[in-house]
Amino acid sequence: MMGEPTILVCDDDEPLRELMKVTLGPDYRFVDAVDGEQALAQLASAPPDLVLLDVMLPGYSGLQVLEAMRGDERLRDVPVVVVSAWQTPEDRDAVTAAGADAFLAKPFELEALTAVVSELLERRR
Amino acid sequence: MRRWSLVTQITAAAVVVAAVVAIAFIVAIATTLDLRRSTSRETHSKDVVAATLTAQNLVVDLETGVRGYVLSRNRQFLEPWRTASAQWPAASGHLERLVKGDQVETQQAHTVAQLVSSYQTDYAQPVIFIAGIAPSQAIAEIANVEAKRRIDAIRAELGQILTVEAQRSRNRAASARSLEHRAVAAALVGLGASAALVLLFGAWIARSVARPIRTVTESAANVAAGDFTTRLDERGTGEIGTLKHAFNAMTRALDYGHHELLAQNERLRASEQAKSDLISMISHEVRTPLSSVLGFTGLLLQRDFPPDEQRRYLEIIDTEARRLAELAADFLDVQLLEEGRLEFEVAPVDAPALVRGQAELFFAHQDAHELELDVPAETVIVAADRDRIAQVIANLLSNAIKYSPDGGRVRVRLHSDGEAVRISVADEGVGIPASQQGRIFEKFFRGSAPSAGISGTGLGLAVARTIVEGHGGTIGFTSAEGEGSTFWFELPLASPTPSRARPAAGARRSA
Repeated sequence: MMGEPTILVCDDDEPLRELMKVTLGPDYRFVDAVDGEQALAQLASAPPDLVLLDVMLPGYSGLQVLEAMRGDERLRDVPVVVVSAWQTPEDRDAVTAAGADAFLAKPFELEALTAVVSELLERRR
Repeated sequence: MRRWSLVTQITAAAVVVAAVVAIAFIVAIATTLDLRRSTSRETHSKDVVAATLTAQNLVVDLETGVRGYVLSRNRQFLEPWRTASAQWPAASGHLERLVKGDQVETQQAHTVAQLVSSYQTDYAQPVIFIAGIAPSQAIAEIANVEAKRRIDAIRAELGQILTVEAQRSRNRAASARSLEHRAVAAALVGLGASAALVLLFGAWIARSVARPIRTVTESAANVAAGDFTTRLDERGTGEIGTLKHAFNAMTRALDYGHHELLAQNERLRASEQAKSDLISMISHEVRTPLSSVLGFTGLLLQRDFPPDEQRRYLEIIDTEARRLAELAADFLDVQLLEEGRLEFEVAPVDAPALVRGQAELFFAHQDAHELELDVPAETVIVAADRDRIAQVIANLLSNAIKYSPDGGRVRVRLHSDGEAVRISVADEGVGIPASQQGRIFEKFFRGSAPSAGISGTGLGLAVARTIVEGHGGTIGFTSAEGEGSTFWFELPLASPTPSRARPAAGARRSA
């Protein structure tokens, strides 16, 4: 693994993207996406080491992005953490079925975010 | 027939049947009585004949007795005479009583009685007496024409009675036979007619009462099974027609009630769904700013940041907390407006003054945006809730500023055509993509604003539309992506009649 891992932060709320980036700190390199379309474009240009993905996105939803990734040879194994305000059992089931590696409900604990990100990257290495 | 009730019809038919049966019986009884009378008259004729024959025999005995005694001079031969003489008064009386009703015969019977009496006293007794003293003279006496003439006269009278009565007896027997046939025929016809009428009556009752009742019963079972579209053919006499009509009215009412209930149920379900959607939407909308507030507060508490970063995070917390407060206020507005519970305090409002006031308030501290105010100086009065219309203007002004992040000109116009006042706010901002324009007044719809970093709840325009429409006005916009948007709303002018403003659906007007 060369240098710090790259994380794609996909959320339509600017303060939340910043919160996730500040929380995870300077050990990672971040790429922003404000909607599903941008996320897919970023994923296509350079596969990241991990994706933080919101579900309610303008245009393509987070679930559609996730399904596209799982159907793509190069992106199939990239770990995805879904961070969403939707948190009914059905929502969680849909997210799990679509192939998410972890689920964080908004508002999330900062420690939970750092823990799940480092664990998934560790496992991948 | 239709205007007669069924009860009347059945009663009338029963009366007719009873009358026909009664007439048949009366005819049969009358015929039987006739027959009896005729039979008794026939019997009477036979009695008369018998009595006449008895009288004839007695006359023969009288004559034979006299003749025998005179010729034999033996007193024993006088026995028939004595017996007949003893029996005669009774036989003669009997005959006279029998023919009492017939003048001719009474006369004849009377004549016979006189002739016999005269024969006994003027002829027979003298001859018997003479026979005791001068037998030859007596013999000569019985041989002479006088005796034969007397007996022949008696026989002739009796013969006439016999002939007449025999003829009468034959006639009466014939009449009795014909009466007998008539009686049997009348009885048969009466019985047949009565039976046929009773059958017809029964069939008619079955057709006009039993069958319709069965039809109604079957239909009622259908209705009970839940088929409220069941309808009956309303033809039918009197009460049956009324029953079918009432049945149809009942099923129509049930059908209507059923549909009403289904519709109401559907409305309730939709309302429940809307409420449930609103609640999950609120939950979702609250979580995003709440995540930032909690997250940055946590960061500031756990870690040390340089002062400028600290300040930046505190600003984010402030913005997001305000967003939460704004959400809370908007939710309440949406809820009140949707339930129609929000009351508009309608009063005359000077629209240009209100617009000017709001615009100046908003642009007092704006450097990036330039305000262009095109509002007439004279007063234009609308009947409106001042605070709520101010809220709409503020929302449009706030949107114009928010959605033109690079600054630019904001044109605020007020124009009145004598019937309505039109207020518009035009910006030179990001505009609305054509694909999103249809949803711009939907609750929580924010288009691509969040990704552009523009804050908001997605409720402002939904609330604005409800307020404007609640005043009897209209709201709309024109927009081109990248060129800016113009939002406008129209309110009816206050007319001589106090107010044309309408409160939101179901709301009570308090002015």
